[in-house]
Amino acid sequence: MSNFKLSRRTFISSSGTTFLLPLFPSWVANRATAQTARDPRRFVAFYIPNGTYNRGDTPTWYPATGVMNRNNLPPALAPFDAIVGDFSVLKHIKTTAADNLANANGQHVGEAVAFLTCGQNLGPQNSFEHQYAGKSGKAALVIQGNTADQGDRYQNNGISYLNGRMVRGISNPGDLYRQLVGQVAVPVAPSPQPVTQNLEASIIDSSLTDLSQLRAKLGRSDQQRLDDFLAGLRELELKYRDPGSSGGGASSGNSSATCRPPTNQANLDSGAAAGDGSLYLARMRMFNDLITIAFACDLVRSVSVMLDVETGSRSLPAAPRELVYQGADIAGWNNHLVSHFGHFSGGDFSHATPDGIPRCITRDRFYFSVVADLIQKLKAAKDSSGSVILDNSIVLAGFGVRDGMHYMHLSQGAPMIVGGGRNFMTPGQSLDMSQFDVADMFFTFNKHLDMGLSDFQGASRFLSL
Amino acid sequence: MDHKTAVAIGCLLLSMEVSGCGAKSAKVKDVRSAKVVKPIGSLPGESDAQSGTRSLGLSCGAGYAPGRAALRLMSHEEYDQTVSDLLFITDKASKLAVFEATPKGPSGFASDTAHVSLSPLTVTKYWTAATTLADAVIARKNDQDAAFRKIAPCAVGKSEVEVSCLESIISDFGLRAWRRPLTSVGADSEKARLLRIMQQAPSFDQGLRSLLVALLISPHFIFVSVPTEAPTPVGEAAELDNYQIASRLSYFLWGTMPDQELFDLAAQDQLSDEVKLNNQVDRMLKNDRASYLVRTIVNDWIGLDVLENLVTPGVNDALKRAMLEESWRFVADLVIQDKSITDLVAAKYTYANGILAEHYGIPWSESDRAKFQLLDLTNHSRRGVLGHASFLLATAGSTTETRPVKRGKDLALKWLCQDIPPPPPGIPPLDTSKLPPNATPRELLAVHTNSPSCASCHERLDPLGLGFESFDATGKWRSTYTHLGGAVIDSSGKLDASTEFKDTRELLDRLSGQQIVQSCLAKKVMALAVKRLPVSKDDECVATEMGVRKWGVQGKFSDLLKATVLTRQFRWQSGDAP
Repeated sequence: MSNFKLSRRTFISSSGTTFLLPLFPSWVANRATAQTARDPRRFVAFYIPNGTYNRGDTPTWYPATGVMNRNNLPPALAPFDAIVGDFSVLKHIKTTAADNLANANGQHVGEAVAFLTCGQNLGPQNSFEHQYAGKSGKAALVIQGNTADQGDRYQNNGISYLNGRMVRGISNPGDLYRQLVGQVAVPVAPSPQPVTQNLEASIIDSSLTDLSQLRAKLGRSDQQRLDDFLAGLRELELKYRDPGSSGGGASSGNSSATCRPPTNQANLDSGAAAGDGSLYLARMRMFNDLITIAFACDLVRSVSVMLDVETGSRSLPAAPRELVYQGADIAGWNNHLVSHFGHFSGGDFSHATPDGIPRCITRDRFYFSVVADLIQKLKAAKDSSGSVILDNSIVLAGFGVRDGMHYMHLSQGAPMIVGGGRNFMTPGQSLDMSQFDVADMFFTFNKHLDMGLSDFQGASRFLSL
Repeated sequence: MDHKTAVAIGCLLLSMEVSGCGAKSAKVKDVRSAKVVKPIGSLPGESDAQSGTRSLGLSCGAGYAPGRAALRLMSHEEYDQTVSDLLFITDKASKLAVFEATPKGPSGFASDTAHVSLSPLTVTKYWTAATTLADAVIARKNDQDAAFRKIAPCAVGKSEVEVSCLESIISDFGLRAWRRPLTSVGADSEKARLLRIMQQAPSFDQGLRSLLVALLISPHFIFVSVPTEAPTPVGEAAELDNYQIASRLSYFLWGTMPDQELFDLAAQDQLSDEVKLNNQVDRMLKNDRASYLVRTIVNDWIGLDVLENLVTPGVNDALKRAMLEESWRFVADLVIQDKSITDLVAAKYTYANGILAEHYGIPWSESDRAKFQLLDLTNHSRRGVLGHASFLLATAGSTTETRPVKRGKDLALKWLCQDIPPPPPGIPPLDTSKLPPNATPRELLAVHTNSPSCASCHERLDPLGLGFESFDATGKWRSTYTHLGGAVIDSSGKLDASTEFKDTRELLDRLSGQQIVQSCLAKKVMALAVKRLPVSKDDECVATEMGVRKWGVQGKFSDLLKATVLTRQFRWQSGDAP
């Protein structure tokens, strides 16, 4: 910063009507929460097939525009209840590319292809996660949730495309575990020198004494705030009294995941397990554990997860009780049929069963629970700088088909969930994106991920997320 | 304006002039008056010499409660600026530690942080910032004009440092860090503990580093409004001591710690004197640190920080810069020239360049379209910042078309200080089936006011928002809705049962004369001063008295600030100890 100094009064009187201004970049610097240069940014995309309940004139799906809280979350988003401040909903965003694809007007095939490519034809471009992988120099991780029925009624029943070919992801987490084991060494954190460690411990002791003395002078509500501070100091204290006690295993839900060797779950490690619907959620959660380690060890920065394939005739497993909405479980129900609100007879989509919509919501919750699980794990994990990995990551979750009942007059696409990225976005909002396209969304992601693209499939509007 | 001039101007507002920097630390007499604690009901009335309101002549009666001064964290900006002033360095501390963004508080200001929760991760980040900054001070100890020399002058060039020097450093630097004298009596006093930490280190440098970390990680540094006496019970109120007043004053006007002059006055109990307190307001407003007020008004109150990443069709970079520069110049002018705060809503002038004037449809005769100059708006329909394109863009609700309810809500919250609750969950969609396809916003919103469950809020919001419909989403003036087949815009409405307006211009002309607006202006200044939302009936009384009776359109900005620091809200606090 310049050392230039000038009396304000002199300047004003001598220059007439010229007034004082701050530099533009400085204003926003006061508000920006900058990431240190060494923390990489990550991208994860989850795809939910077959659409959801998205009737524009009865938007029971959507949270009211503005800041979200637990009280205004729609039932489909119940799995995000504990992390409502960590994601945003993009409502009514357009899906122009998918709409324009041949045989794709609101129907299945083009939606899967277009989800991560925004491609204008069925000859797919490189999907977004591969584009980012290319920029980052680290291969993308492609995961497939379902193998029992590939739904190959359509050729391009996938979301991941590289060099003109569809990439079918791995569906056995054991395979990913084996990939990671050879790459992740047990970290040896340098132990603080004993003198330094004792000094730090003394400083924390002194601060704890400050706290306890101060606490006695406060009223109840201020004491509670100080207790939050005390909890944080206690964690620091543990670190300096026992350096090995900080951090935790990747599979621990409550402690920070650092770059540590992954663990396997033998019962999930087989092709048969990959096709067993009753093991679906356990398998996806193990994938989430491994994704978290891969991020923490900076082995991967880009992931796509196709939670299930389009159409098909497989049966869904029972949903955990807490995810069942209004008693409408999905056990034994055909995946495709659920998205059509329960009725499919001779191509007639027009009538739903009475509990078809609650069942569709249960299904949405079933898949969203996987997304929420990853967000929570990334939130508990830290980069080596101490920054929360979630804050440096973009977690996208969305649908392909706009509306399960294929209502063609809908002008908007199905909602998109964008989680994380607190260091460069403002999560916790429900945003009206009716003036924008998903291609604009990917252009915006490109800016946050420093990909350097001047546009994404012709789109170049930056969204304030 | 060329880049070099812009840099010079920018440095002027942002320069971190640290008075007393490098000067010898004055010996601070630890003279602090005993805390005065009284039951709220027995607090002096306005005729009492000790009332604190006598010079204000307010009619709020005796026994009005000052409100609580909650323990609050420094906002990121306050933390950055405080660390810079304290350690004489310019590293952006909150970026070093990658703090999470602090959301604005209920009052609308980022410095209203009593609601901000403190996670263990955030504490770790404070630790990271403290250790990194301390390391930076030690690493640069041999630089010319080094912070080390200012923090530890008695140790410069010494191979061995005496205990008396350590004690002097702890006293002087500790006072500045914790914004009050450290306790010194007893083996477990603050000074004694910190001395033990320094002496535990194998070298002076390590000891100084440890001292800096200990001071920066302490709650006495991180939290503002930290009490030093026994808790005040519920139903009673305590007068803040002079050091607390000094902190409150500096964070109100500068967003940073007190300077040496404020510390000296606090040490001599001079900040209990109302004249001296007001003199400090005058002095502080002339200091470049007062740019904090400009930033806070522009970013938090008017809400222009949302424009940073906003991309709007029809608004290119040059136009957006011009919009922002208009508002910055306007507010800076108000603060520096000490104009009336009601100019924010009533001014019949602004600053614009050719690009912005063209956007406004105002003729521009200068050959240099980039040059800003004063514009007379007497014969135009814009008033104050409410007519600025930046404000209108920020409140439009969408980048392509206005959302009158959104604008109405922003106006109600920020300029009328009306509490608008969020909509209840599970609202069914409105039945718009009987409306024509090109229904105007007024016709659509009429459905709200016809619905009893919606009317209670929308009767307040919709007239305000619709009253601004003559401004499109980019702040341009319009008379028809081109996207609705050229429908004529009807911006008439009612502010209350007795105040009608026939169009946008009349609404803007009437707003500044409304008691509710004048009271709100004073309330916002009070909120910035005491870092909380003024919600009690006592807060309401004080704000209304100041905004309506005392400082309407005639009052100067500094007069309102000086009155605010004399209020009981500023100088006392209500107790909350059980």
